[in-house]
Amino acid sequence: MGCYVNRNEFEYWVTEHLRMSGVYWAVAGLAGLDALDQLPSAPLLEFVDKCYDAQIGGYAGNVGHDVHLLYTLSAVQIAAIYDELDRIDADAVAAYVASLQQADGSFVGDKWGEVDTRFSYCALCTLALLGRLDAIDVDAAVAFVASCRNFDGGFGAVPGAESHAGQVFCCVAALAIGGGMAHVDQDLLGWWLAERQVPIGGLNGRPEKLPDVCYSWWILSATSILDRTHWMDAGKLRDYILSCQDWETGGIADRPGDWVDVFHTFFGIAGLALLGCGGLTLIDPVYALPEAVVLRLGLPRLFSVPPPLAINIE
Amino acid sequence: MLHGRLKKKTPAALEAARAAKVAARVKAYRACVAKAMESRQAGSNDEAALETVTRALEMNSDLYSLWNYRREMLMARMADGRAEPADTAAVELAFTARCLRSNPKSYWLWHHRVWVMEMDGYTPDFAEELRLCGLMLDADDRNFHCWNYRRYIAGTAAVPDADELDYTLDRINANFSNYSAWHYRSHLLPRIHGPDFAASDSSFATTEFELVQSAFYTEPDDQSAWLYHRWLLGRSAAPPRLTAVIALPGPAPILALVFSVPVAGVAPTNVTVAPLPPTSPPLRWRPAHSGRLAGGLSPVWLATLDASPATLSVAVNTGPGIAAKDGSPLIDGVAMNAELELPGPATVVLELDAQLAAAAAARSDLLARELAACDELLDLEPDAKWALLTKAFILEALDPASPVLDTLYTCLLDVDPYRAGFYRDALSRRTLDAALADHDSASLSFALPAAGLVALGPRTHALASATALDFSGNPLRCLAGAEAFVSATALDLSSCGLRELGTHLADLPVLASLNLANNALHPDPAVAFAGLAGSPLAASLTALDLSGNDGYDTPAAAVAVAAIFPRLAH
Repeated sequence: MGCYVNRNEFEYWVTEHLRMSGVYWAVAGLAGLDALDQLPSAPLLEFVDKCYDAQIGGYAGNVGHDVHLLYTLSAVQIAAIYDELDRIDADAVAAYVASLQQADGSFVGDKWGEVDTRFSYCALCTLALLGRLDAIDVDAAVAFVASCRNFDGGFGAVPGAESHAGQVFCCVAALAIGGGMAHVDQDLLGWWLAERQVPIGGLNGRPEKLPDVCYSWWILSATSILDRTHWMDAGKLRDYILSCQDWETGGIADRPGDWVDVFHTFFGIAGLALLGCGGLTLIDPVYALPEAVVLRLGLPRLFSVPPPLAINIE
Repeated sequence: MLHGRLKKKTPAALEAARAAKVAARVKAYRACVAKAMESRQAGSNDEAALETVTRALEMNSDLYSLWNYRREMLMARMADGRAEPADTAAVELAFTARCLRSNPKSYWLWHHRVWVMEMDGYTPDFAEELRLCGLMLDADDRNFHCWNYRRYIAGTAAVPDADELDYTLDRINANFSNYSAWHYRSHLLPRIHGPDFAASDSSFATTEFELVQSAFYTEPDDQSAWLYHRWLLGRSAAPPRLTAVIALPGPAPILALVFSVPVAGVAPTNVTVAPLPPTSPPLRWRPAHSGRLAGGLSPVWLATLDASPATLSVAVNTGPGIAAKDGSPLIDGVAMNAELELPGPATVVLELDAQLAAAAAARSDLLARELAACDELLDLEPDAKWALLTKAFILEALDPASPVLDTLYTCLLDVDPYRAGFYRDALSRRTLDAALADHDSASLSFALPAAGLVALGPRTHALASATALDFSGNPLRCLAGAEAFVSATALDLSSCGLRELGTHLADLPVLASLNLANNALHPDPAVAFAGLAGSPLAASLTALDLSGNDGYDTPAAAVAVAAIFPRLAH
């Protein structure tokens, strides 16, 4: 999977602050291809350790950068994939995550106070992976996410914010983890998500926007949790994702002919597996981790996938 | 994350020059960021440090740690009197405005502006912020970061909702396809006019429907107005009510309450069952649907009795407690009690009072008017997807038995093949609903073989008292809904294309005979029947037909199946 942006390009350097997530996308993508052995794990785990701030109990996006909930989840996910959760100080991380919960149940991403349902997902997922959901008020967290539901059945970043497929993934997965599925109008939202499929076969993130491979993952995750994937044309979506693959590098771009990156590559691979394409390892859409990792952690399976499509990804 | 960057091949002759240019840019950027990081390590807070951070953030507004450093510097300067909040804010607002021009979708950047608004000792000029939002939305009227910031400012500055509503109207008049603006209206209108404003015959409701109609008449293929229109039409269903009470015989008799829709909150505090021995513990009501998607709601609730008197009276209290998903409580003024003779099976069906059927008249007028608008569009464009679909949504509420619905969904299968699965589910649901409408509720058997059902659908609880059910020959995608078959003793699911059973049958209390012949069951019984060992089904099942499933004719398979269902007769 030769898919990251070249170190000689500017784009590599302007993403250095989110390198932790980059490592997660790469490692999870490799796991999806059953090719985890393509990267040596030791330097990656060492990198994760170096990004830890023991005083705070969280992880930074890169060495020398600040701790944030986004990268704390990525760090825990990387450790989970390598079966190295022992490296994580679960008590300290749980205490840090809990310290970010607000009175209304929402989460700030760090001490600077930005509230977003993305952070609700990060908090619930991190703690579920560490077996420490008891560290927070789960009911309040669920109630806040529910308060971000909109007229179209989707969810936004904060109460009143417009529905967006990426945010829908965060909120539906957070509600699945928190036991709050009663707050999802499954038919209305499932239909709104199915309407994200555009004539070229790909999915957009909001009405009347362009398609993008990353929504394949976000929408398929949500429809897998809601058991509504069969409301889209899986074959057309599969063809679209494959048309975004770059044959020189092997990576996957947002749209056909664009530059590839590790983010879209992982989401493309994970999306194909959720469509039932054979030859790929299924990524659990709730925890965004390989199925086997979730099973190993003893976490419940909170989704379903459609019958296999008649194509194997070799 | 790269979005929308076309991969262009640079001609070989120019590649060296391009690479050199990029290398210089990378070098300058890295040097600047490194210098800023070093300043922070050293705890610097001088002009040079701030200037370096400014340059780094200009090149990359997503360097969140440098925004943090910048705020630390500014806070220290204001704390020790080196800087005034007003001056600091002026600089930061100009700086973020400059950065937003090149990176209008940076979460970190917008948050820094929020931080400025909330600085101690600073009085924001909210009108200026709204003006900036206007300019940003002129450039991109769907920028949700900007819309969120606008809502934050409007909320903080207590801008009247009516003013914001006017603003969304300006945006919509400039571009009917502005879903972001329609979305904002969906929050503003109920706040201004109350939650049921659309169903009223007030002038603003009429105006709103006229606005959305002119939008979809102008752009009939644009989703924005249609999605908003569907919300305006409302989704208010009839309030939940108790439809049947069932007693099931057995060593420990089971009582089942059947409601018109899934409800939560069934508990001894709102269900009175008498007579029970005074020593009995309170009944424990459990939902028949307990799968991961049920969310604690179920149309059927069960309780096991540890005594069996000759007759039992069951009364369900209205008022707070039992409620549907949308929070609506049980309908008031309808008899919700039943007398049952034990041991069962016994069923008491509660019919709906005729007077209640007329309750939703106002909404019917609204729906009929909007139906006419769809028909007008369809006269001009018979294949207009959104008009067809909206007509179907309206008819589902107005006249669910109408055969026009089948025509509409069949037509939509052609017009909108990508969502064929959605329309097939709708057609399947209608087939079952039609059969249920003809079903005599006193009859104990129900058969709908080879009817093309792809799912059992959401109204299976209408069959909660049937003892023999036949769905053979339907290409069922899964068995969701079968949880409601609480009285079934025999269930025929032969030739349904099933690959695994799932756990939808797991809690059926009295199912004795299950026909799964000629399915496509996974050859490993541990997969095909996953989650069923030790279930109530495993305890009650005495006959299981697995003929015609590959791999199930071996002695080993028989042993594995018997290990899951120990009461099977061999």
